[in-house]
Amino acid sequence: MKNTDFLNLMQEIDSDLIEKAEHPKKIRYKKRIWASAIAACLALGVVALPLAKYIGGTAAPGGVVQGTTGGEAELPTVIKLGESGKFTAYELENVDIDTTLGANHKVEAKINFINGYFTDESKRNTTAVVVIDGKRYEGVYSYSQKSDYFENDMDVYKITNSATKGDFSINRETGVCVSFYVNRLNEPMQNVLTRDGCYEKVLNYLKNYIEDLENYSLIYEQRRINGYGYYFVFRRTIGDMQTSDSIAVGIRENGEIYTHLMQSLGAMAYTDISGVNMSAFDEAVNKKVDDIYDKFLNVNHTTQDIVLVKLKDGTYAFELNIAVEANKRENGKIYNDSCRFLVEID
Amino acid sequence: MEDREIYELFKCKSEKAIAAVSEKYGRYCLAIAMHILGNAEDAEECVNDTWLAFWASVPEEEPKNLKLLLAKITRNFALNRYNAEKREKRGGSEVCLALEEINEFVSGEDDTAEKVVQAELMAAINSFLRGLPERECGIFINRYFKLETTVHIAEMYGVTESNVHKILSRTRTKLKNYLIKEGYEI
Repeated sequence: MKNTDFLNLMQEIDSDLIEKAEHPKKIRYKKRIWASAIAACLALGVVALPLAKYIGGTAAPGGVVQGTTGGEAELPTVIKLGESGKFTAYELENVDIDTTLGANHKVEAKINFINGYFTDESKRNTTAVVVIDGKRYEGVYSYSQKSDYFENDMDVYKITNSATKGDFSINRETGVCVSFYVNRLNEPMQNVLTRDGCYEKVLNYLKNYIEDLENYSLIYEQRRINGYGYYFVFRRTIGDMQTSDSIAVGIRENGEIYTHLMQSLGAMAYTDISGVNMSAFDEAVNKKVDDIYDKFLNVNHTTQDIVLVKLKDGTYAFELNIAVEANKRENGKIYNDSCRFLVEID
Repeated sequence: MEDREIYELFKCKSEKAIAAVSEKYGRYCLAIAMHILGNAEDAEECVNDTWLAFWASVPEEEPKNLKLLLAKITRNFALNRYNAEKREKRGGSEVCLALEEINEFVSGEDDTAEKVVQAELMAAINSFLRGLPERECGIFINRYFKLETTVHIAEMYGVTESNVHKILSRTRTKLKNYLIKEGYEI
């Protein structure tokens, strides 16, 4: 068949199919206008602690801010989640979804995540200075990044110090340097610290940023090649639940911090999930998986990871990666697929 | 004006028929012709040809869907004109891109002798499209029936353009496999 023949053949498509195609259902992006006011209030409360430290103030245990503001800030309110017991699951865009399986994937929400899906903005001609681990770095504005995670809009600056390459990012709301990376070229390195020494130094470093470090768990560590150093990843957990409050720090064995990345810094500090009805939550997830794989038999799914996230509008949600196994017919081939959900807590 | 009234105007050869159909479906048909020809003048001529063709052979019974019937006529005129232009080495439009995409799964051989099976083949394609998820089906039809640009399709469905390309590519592969399984050599 020639390609032109195929186009001619398409002339004979059934009219009802064409009609349906004329009025597509657009992917639904849930509007969260109502929540912006709450987000603003929360931002004030949650931002107060880290921000105060970076504008010269000190934060006492318990959340009372003393210093530059001239008065005492109010204690942030504890946010109790899930008391209504209502959960809404949205399937997230995922490049790994295998639509050739014939599963009924209808991606309903797209979200910009901290690791990878930023929207870059145009450049501005500004500079900034940060002091990291006692060293001063100057940077020229390079670009901005937006993310749907709370407090993660940031301006990225390229470090301009001589013999140093790298960048740092400043959170627009809080002024905190949430990401930093530096690579000193051809600099001889004297390794003086063991793994435990590096770890201890990292913990001390993080105390500058995190008031309640005891609520963070070390979830991953890696020794960099050629004795370059160690990379530690911490995440705030509430009960057994992981949250988007995470910090990754890289340290050389000479004791120099060469990178850090902080995500939704402290956003979950006053979050209480004891009221979350996990069986209602599981039900929402099961229902969604059943909808997607309704043409399949023996659908088994496993939640591979689940993280409590706080979105920019102040609402909370669980982000899940789900692995699915299913048959198209009894005793048939087992298909493997995966999907990602955002389950909003009403 | 209702489709029934437009049809009646054509049926009784009223002078108002062309103006009425033009007002209601002119822009729609023009868009289809534009996607194929990429030239406003040629597209307008195709749309006029559509009205005249419908005028000259008004069906006995009122069409179930006048809009789609007119769309099909316009598409046919536009494709014919496109092919004629291509022979004269003119043109250049969304069709070129669509044809390149289609080349991935058709043999490219001229098998006009087998046209008798085309009705069956079309039935198979219709059946395949019905088995697709609504979004995949819609994107495929918008691309290869209406010859919409991938940018516009992405807007229609609220997805990225690269997503549209991915879906189209997967659907073409699926269609090819389906047709091979059904015993067609395309």
